[in-house]
Amino acid sequence: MKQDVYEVPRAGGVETRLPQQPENASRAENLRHDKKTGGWSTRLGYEKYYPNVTTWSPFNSTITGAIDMGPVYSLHVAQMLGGGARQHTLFEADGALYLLYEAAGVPTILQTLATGRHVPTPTEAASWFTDTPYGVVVTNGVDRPVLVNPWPLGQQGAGQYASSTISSCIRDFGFTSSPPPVDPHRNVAFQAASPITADYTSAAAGASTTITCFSDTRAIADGGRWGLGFATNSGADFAKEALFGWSCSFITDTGSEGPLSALSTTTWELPGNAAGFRHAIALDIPTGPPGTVARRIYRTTNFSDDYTAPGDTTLYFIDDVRNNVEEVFIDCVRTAALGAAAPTVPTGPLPAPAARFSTLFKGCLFLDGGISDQRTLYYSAPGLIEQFDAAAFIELSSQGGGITALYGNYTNLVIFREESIDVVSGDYAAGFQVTTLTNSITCRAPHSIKAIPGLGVVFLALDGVYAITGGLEGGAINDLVKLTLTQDELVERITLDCHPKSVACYSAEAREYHLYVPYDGNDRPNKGLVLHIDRIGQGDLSPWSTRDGFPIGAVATRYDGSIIFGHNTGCQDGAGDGVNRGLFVISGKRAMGYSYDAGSQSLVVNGPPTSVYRSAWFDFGDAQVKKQVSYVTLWVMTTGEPTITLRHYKDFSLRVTAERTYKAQPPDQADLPVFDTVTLNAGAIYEDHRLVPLRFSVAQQSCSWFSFEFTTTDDLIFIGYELEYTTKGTRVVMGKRA
Amino acid sequence: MSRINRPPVLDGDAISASDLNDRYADYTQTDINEFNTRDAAVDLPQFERDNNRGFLAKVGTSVLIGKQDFYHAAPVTLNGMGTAPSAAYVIGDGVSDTVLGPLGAGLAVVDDTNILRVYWSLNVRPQFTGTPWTTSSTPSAEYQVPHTSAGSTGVATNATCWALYLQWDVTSAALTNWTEVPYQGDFTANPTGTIRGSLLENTAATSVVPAWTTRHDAVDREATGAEVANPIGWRGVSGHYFYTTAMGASVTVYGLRLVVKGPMHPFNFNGRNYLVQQPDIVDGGNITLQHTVGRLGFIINKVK
Amino acid sequence: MKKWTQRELRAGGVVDPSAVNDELRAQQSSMTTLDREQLSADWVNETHLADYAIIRGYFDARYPSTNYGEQTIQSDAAVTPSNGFLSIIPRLDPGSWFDINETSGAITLSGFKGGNLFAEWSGNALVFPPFAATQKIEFPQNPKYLGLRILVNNSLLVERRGPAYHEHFRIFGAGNFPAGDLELRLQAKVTSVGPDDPLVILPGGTQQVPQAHLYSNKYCVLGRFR
Repeated sequence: MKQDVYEVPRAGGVETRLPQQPENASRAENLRHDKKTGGWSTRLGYEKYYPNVTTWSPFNSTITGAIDMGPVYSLHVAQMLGGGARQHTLFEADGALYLLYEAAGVPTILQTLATGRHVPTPTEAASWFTDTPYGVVVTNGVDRPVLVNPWPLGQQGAGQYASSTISSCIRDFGFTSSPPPVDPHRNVAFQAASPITADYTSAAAGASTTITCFSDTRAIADGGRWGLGFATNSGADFAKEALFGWSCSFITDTGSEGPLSALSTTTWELPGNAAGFRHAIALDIPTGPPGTVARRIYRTTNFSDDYTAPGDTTLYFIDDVRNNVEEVFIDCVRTAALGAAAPTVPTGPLPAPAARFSTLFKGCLFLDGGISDQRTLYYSAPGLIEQFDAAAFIELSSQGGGITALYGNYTNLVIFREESIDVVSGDYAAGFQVTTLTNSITCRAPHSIKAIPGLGVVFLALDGVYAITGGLEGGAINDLVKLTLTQDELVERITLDCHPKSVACYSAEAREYHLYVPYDGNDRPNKGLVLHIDRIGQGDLSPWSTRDGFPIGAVATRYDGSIIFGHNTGCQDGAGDGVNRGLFVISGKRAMGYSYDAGSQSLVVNGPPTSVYRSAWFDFGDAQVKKQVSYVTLWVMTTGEPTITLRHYKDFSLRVTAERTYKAQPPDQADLPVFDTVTLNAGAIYEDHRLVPLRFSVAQQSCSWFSFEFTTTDDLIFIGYELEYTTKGTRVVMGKRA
Repeated sequence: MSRINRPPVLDGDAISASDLNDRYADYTQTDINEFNTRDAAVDLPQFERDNNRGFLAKVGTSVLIGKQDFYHAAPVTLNGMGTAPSAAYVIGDGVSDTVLGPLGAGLAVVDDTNILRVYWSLNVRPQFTGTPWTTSSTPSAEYQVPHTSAGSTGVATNATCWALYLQWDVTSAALTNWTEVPYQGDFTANPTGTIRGSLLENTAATSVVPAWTTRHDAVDREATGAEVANPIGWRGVSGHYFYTTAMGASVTVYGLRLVVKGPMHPFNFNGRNYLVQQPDIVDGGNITLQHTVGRLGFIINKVK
Repeated sequence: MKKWTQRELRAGGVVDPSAVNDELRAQQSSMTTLDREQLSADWVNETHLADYAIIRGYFDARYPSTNYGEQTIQSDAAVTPSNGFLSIIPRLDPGSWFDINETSGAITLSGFKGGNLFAEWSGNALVFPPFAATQKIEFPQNPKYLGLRILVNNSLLVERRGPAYHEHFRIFGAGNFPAGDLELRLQAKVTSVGPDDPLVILPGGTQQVPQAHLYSNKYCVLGRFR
């Protein structure tokens, strides 16, 4: 009998909207894109970060004793040197910030950078990490922002250098407040005329000083250049008042200058008939907190009524004290030699001590104001990430809601807000401007935002996954494209209140955008949505697949594109030996976690994930006409002994009809050699996969809609399929009478 | 914590009563904790308040002590103590003691979650006649500053003082069992000879008032000329003390009061510092402390 | 957060999975993500609240406790008259601000969660005042004060000119600080002696004048968290 054949040379991903495109799938779960062939591969799973270690170490022990590691809710791999030469893995669990220190092979202990940090609730996103040239800035909206630079660090192991010096790798970010004031010693003017004709008897009281500087250029080799105040008082009484004020600021190891201390002053008058000497003033200067590398000293001119600028307390630069140790500074700089004025817009303390998000854009570090100041954006001076001018902030419009994420991309800084998306353009010199990109899209999942080459900035909004494409400058066209137009049901099942818990990463190696979301009421990610970049733009083919069974709490990519993740539950529900905890890697390992075998008292790998492909419901052109599907031909690569059992359904009923099982070997040629049975030196040769058809006979009576499915835990590469069917033209009967 | 961790109903699952009941039973959980709440979920209304007492600030009150006499017309006058040990004077209004209390049972309770903070102030005027510091005594109220040649000049130590300190009653509201608060001595210890006082480590609830101040000319490290004494005049003295169970057991405080001894003077012995009575310089009413009104108050607040 | 009806089941409706899933998924909000609108009043009591959730006290009734509540810069008995405290004599005066616990310096306030910090330091101080005006010094001469200040993370919280006699002092201040361990320093500064001030006293001329002393030192710090 002549059959009609419907060919799908390349099987598509998930589509939920009805009617579906025939090439797509109702379900494509736990599948990867096979780069060699462009098909779907089932070769995935996950393994421990340290696969050769027989216990959960180091995620269950530290130098001070056993710890059970709960959910890992934030994870970041910082690239501190180009080329991936120095990667730092930072993660948080149980309120502690850890460094996975790998400088000497398998570590036996974790390095704890900080404890007592805020643990995010189910409605809060986890910590935000921003790489800067000076370290990683970590913010979470509750704790003070910290700067982490875990290098250099010594050896691992109990009692070794790393454990004792780890506390120097983290410090508070930004300036708390003004330094304590400079304390000038009182000056007692020199009581002699010039030339000196009598002994000078000290008139200085406790802690006062009399430090003289010759005012005559001929007096000493370098005379006349130094000293404060007047040099001569020709009257008989005390006169010629000198009134000076000082201030200081701290300079940190990021090169940033902090706020100025309050002005503190001292004053003196010259005695009658004084001549020949100006004076230097001794200052007690404060030392700064950890991270301070220098103190900057400023001074006024003589602002007494006896000088030319009474009341003028403008501060000028004197000098930098290039350490954080010395406590006494002698100021002998003449007013004429004062340096540049102190910044007119003074640097203030860290304006956002409870910032949630940060990003570097045009050299400036941007911070949001935090939960209680959620519509303000603060930015630092370019290249000086801790230096925030008091006037360097942008107040966003009241419509649009609070800031939910910051993302620097291309020529713009994208501000995701609760009810809109704004962009910041410009630069520090010319000023930053804010415009609204859209006020109809709400992103509440900050960790879902990733930049994907060729696509733009991809993120999860309340109603789907979007991409911001293009740009706003030159002739670029900016657009907001919804990538889940036909996958709305997948998005609808995300737990609405727990959107902030969604996490994502982009792997350039796998060419995939992974988005893990809390599903079906769960409070932590338990479902993955994977966007396969290489499948975008191929007609109506859906580029989406799903992942199930991956316990992702937080996810990040290493330099080579490997996707690592932290377990989303850990020991929170129990601490037995078999409880999976710590960091894992999504890899080609054919396993889904580990269990504990009491007999051998060791961890054993669990089985591989179950991969499922269920085709779209296909009506062959007219759903009212009954068809008889006779064959389903699957085009697969010959992966050896893995078996395929085909199941099929009709008319949206998922009552299964299963057909026989075939191997993934050539149907009409000799089997290819397979591992564990091939004999060495017996003439067998290596042979590549071949694309072969596996034709399944389908015992299907009439149907309006048809779908087939196969599930497997074996290695399989699936390319496309064909459906052979006939039709007699019989149509569906009328509906049931009520 | 409690989580709902159940897969959704899938097409093909049996419609069974037990499955539905299991799903509904997921919502009957008892160990709700911080992992079940969102951020900012606990607001002021959620904090339990007991009979209008605060959650953080449990209880507090203050009373006037001493004698209310704004114009200092007839202040209370306390004579210096000429013998040691002597009983302390209780700050009162000249007729009776003024105390804070009695506090009801169960009201001012200090346990390991809170702190008792006590503050006081008093309007005082230390007075003297003549030059009491020149009177020989142990410890002496003078230093002998040597001359560059032979001899020396007496200079007042300016350390003679009155010591106000705190007592409490943790026995009953009858207020018949006043004792010094923890870390406070009663200045009756006897380090040596006839000296009576307390180690400085037992002066946590003491606030001292200087008895006099003097000035003296000097040149080249030698005191010269006459010594001039300056009266202190009316001034306010404040005091502060706190108690936690790091210092002792949980207590219920029924009353607080302020007492005073003087004149007192520094003393060191065997490598330790003391504040001791200085009775030898007292002659009748030559050294007195006058006081009028002040305030004694406390607050108990949560610290944990 | 509160949720309303997602899907009302009606007689005759098909028993599909989403009939159960849709409503139960939304109602998870009565188990997770509870907010203040849902939680009842008066349920947070001492038992329910973790230690240090909203307030934390840091205190020491004798600071430094290793030195009985007195500052660690102290003369020894060989150079101190018996009628004086073992205290700061002119030879030991650092000349600038010093921690009253020079041995260990800063007090660590660990686990501060961000919010308002109130710090209070009280005690008694002795200052030796007689030689404020001597022959060789000019106005304003040299009145003796014992400066006091409290630093938090090397920033000034409060500073006072301090006592000038043998008297009680109390210095306190408050400020808002972000979360993280804080360093508290209690510092004092002696007004140094002038050129005429006698430094030694009899007997023996080996004993030195007690210049300043702090005792009964105690601090009470309260952090109230946002």
